Amino acid sequence: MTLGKFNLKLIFVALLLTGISYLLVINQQETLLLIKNVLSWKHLNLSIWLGLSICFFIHYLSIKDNKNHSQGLIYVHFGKFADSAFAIGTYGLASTTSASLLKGIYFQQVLDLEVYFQNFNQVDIYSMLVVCIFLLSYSIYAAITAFINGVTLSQSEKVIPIIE
Amino acid sequence: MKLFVISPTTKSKHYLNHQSKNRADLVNDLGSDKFEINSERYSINDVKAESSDNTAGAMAAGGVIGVAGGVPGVVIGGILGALFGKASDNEDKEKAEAFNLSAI
Repeated sequence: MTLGKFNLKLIFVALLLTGISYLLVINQQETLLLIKNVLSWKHLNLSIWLGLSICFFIHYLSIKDNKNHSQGLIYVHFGKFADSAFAIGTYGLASTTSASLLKGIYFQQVLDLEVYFQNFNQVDIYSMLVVCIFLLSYSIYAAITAFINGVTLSQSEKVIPIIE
Repeated sequence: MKLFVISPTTKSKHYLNHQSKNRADLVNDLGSDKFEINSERYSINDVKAESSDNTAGAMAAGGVIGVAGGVPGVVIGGILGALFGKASDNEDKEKAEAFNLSAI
């Protein structure tokens, strides 16, 4: 989707993120509380595991009959089911651990409630923050992409070969 | 990367429920270089590949998760997401170009 030289999707996302940043600044207390509630939600890990499992299982269903789907080392050696199971396991562990670390950093650095990382200096903690944001968003993004690809492939047209 | 053909009658795109690196692989997968979709006949050379557009989605995901780090988190998350999405788009674009240039 482009308008001349501009990518409308990217402009929309940039505006969305600017809007989120603005809301963070003007509603600081409410936002802090909302993030605290999300990170402390007792079903957060279960929800992440369930969400990821559903996304990758739908992707698995869409590729299981495709002979030419050949993405990844695990697929080549162990097959499609193992590839999907491995994806659920690795992304699940990465995202739940990132969410837990984010909770610790948030409680310690932003809310100043309790000390999670006793002997870590500020640089280590902020490095951890960047890595956790990356890991969590990457895992969620990978799951959403797998889901969209799965749905797109499932809705695609059936090809009937003509043998002459 | 998604494979599609354009219907000669409706001029609409029909996405194939197959994934292949090149046209030779697709022929091998189908067992023929001609096929039908919705009773319309196509040759393997009619199949084109298009790359996906991941940059915006990755940038949004990074920025939204970055909320936990405040405004700097949103900015850092957005930038990391955009960089990763762009790299992924470039890789996908190369795959689509390789398919479109392939011959049987």
